[in-house]
Amino acid sequence: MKGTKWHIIVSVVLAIYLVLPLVGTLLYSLAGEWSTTILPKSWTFEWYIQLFQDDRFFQALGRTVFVIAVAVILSIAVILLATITIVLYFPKWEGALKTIALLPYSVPGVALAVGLINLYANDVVNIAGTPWILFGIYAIIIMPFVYQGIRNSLYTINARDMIQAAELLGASKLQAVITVVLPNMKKGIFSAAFLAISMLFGEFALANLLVGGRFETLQIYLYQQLSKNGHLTSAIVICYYTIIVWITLFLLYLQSPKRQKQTRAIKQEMPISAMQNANLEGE
Amino acid sequence: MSYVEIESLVKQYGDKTVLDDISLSVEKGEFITLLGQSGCGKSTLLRSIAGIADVDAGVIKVNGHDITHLPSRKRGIGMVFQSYALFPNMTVTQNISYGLKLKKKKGHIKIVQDMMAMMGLEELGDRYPHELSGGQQQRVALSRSLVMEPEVLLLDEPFSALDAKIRKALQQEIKNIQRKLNITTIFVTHDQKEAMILSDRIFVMNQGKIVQTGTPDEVYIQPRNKFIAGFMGSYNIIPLNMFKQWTNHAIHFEKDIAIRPESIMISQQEEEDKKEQAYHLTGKVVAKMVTGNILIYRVALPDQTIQIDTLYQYNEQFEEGEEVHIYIPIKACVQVS
Repeated sequence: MKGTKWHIIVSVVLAIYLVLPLVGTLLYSLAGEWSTTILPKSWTFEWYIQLFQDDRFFQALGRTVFVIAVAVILSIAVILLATITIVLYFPKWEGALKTIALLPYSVPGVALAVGLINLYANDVVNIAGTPWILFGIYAIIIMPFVYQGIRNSLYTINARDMIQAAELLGASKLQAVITVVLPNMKKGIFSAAFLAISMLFGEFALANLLVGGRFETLQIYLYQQLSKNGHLTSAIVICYYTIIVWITLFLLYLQSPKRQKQTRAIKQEMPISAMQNANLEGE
Repeated sequence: MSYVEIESLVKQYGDKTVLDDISLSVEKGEFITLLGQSGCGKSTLLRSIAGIADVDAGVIKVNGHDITHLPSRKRGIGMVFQSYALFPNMTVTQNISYGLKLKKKKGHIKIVQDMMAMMGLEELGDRYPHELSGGQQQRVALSRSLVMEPEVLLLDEPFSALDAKIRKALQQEIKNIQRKLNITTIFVTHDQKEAMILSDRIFVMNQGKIVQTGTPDEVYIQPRNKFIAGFMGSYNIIPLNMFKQWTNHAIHFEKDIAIRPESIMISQQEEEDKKEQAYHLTGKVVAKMVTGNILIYRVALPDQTIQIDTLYQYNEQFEEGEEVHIYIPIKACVQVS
């Protein structure tokens, strides 16, 4: 009993510690006047109204969504092809692929940015400072997550056996991948994509260092509003959190085993009841 | 010319020779088994025939055609994988019709229905593989291969994931279907009992070589060497010198002797009539085990303990420490190298 109590106390303290800043932000984004009291003196939706009337906010949101979409699709397309090819036909090289794919994870953001500026600001390729650089760099920094997700799902579905089985039934390699492997990897690919999206949504350092004000993403917009109006910034943060929470919930829904069980239960209902009837009759 | 001909097949992984100059032939409609421990090359041989593992040298012919370098989809060979490799995104019906649809074969719906009826899968057509039991999954995998009317059917340890009861039922079923369709079948297993129940002929493999070929009876009764004797049953292996001492050089043997435990007779009394056909020895029971229908005795003879199996009937039993007479029939002594 004592143990249970202790657990509850720790959980509550931890929950307060984690939720308090968020609640504070939410209150501040809804507060009119709030200086010497514990709770705000007056409430208002003004900051949200201001925010939603600001074209810059929507433009920043649009840019962020666009950059993320392109980067995630690019990353998945490249990694998917590379992983399927290597895992199935050149398993010897898997170690190399893994090292390359996990490399971005170990390089600090600032070092990455400096290196990329040097790389892209030469005579041949000069895209430093343009939004183009973001597509490339975002596709690279999410690579570790995308790779892990895709690789795991490739192994879970036992892709090698399935491709071989399909080939023995007359399918070409490409047909086998399209009809058998990809449909079964859908869940893994979606999970990887949403993980990558929620990661990139919060990305500020690279966007600011590489492109800055010339291509205002959500995070850069947030940063620039910070100095002007704290209430407005809080409202942005709350919007941002809401989006992330929805993405996370969707991700959990995709991965929940319950979702699979439900469909199974509906389908099995008939035979099971039929079986029970048969048993009763037998008795 | 046999239906399946394999000549001097060689496969190497680095320094390791997995298939060492393998040659074998299988007649049309025959059920043969590649039997051996894990790592003996039996699965690699099967995969080479399927075309999902390539070979370094040698020729594989089916029905007179050289298929050694054909891609697996053009070989006309069906295979049931150890993992079944059913397609999780497709229903049972879709799984079974996969190959026929690719072939754009006319009337494939009827063919699939007939197959499902034969395999007792009619009720399960709309289910997905994860909603099936192991035995049902295996039927689907088998049906999926059989609707393609393959020239050769390959089975890669298809029973290993099933529990004993279902395994027995399915073994019988596969054997019946194989007979009915007269389909040439190559089966891979490490289980000698399974091999003996199912096969017309057994190819025992060890270290990338086929070490003995024969009907189940031949391979069991006349093992060629100690490895096969140890693998096929729990043979007692008696060194030649010791056997000569026991039998006073009665018969001229040149190699060590292998004796099946169930061929040895055990008795409380000395029985003169048995002595004509058998070597008579006396020993002491050191252990007695009940394994179900078989009673196993371990009997200490001079310098070696041997195993004797008897049926668990209402006959005399022997307790540990008891002095017994044993009779080794001359016919039961097999020379092994």
